[in-house]
Amino acid sequence: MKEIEKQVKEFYNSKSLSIEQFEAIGNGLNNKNKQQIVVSNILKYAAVFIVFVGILYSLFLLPKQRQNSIVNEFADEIAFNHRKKLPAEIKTNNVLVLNKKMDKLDFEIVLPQKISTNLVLKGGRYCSVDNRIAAQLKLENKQGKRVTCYVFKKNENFEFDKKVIKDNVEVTFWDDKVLIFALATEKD
Amino acid sequence: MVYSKELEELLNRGYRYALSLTHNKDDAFDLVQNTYLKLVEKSKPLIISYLITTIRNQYIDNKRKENLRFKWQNKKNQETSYEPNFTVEPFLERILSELSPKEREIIFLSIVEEYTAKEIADVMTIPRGTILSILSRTKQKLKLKLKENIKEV
Repeated sequence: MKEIEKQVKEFYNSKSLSIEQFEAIGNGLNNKNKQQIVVSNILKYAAVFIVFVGILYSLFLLPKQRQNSIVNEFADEIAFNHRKKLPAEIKTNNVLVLNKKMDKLDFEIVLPQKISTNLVLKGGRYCSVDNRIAAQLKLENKQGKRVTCYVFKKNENFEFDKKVIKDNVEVTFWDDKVLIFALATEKD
Repeated sequence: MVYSKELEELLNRGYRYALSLTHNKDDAFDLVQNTYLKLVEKSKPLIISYLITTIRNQYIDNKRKENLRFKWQNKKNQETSYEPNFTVEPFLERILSELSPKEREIIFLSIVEEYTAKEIADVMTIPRGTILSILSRTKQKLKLKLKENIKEV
């Protein structure tokens, strides 16, 4: 028994890798390392690119999309209200009277210059936009065309400066940091 | 590759173990090369027990793939079409080739690596009792072959 064990041991122990085989293993390792470096570099650059695009998207595109969506929702509501053509509850051409009578508003109505110079105040009524209490100012232009101005408190931290057309109603937005103004008129 | 005497010895031990499984120099070299690259790539420890386990897993994996390929090609089993490529020790080469890979592996681990039956059982994930029985049977088989050979000579 010992003899066969000795022979088996000698048989296997006489087997070893040649120098060429060692070199081949080393070369395989080097090639693999090179491939790994290339792959890991590609992955690194791809990850950086994805993060960069993500940052750009969340910094610029996402807020812009949200802003557009908010403005569009407001425009929908304002155009709908404008088309209802509800009469003024308080008939006056004096903004001070309006402020006095509409005492449930949590802000003071001011007539911006672009309204006071081109349009004539005819009266006003309570209204709501985005569940916020709003003043609906009834106005008329020089040609006698009906124009409505919606004034409500600004909660958003972006600038409103946009014109949106909804179902043939043109809604022009602007703000004065505290209030949002939306002028609605039928498109010709 | 950082060449060292220890690494050379480790790879040679791995190569001998791979030889006991495949009984073919080229296949054993491929096995040890692929296993070594895999271990380095995965930053696994370069120790003999790990090398042996990984070579074994790689061998089983290769066998499965080969069997699938053979089945698909409807060819006869590789065991029966085996052609050894040893040029030395014709007697031992012949009797070892007549053993099954499992018998060769157990004989190798027991005689060459001097593993205990328990250690072999752990590597091969089969009961210690089975290892002891295969080991004893295989040694008897080898002894018989040796006697026959002496008679022939």
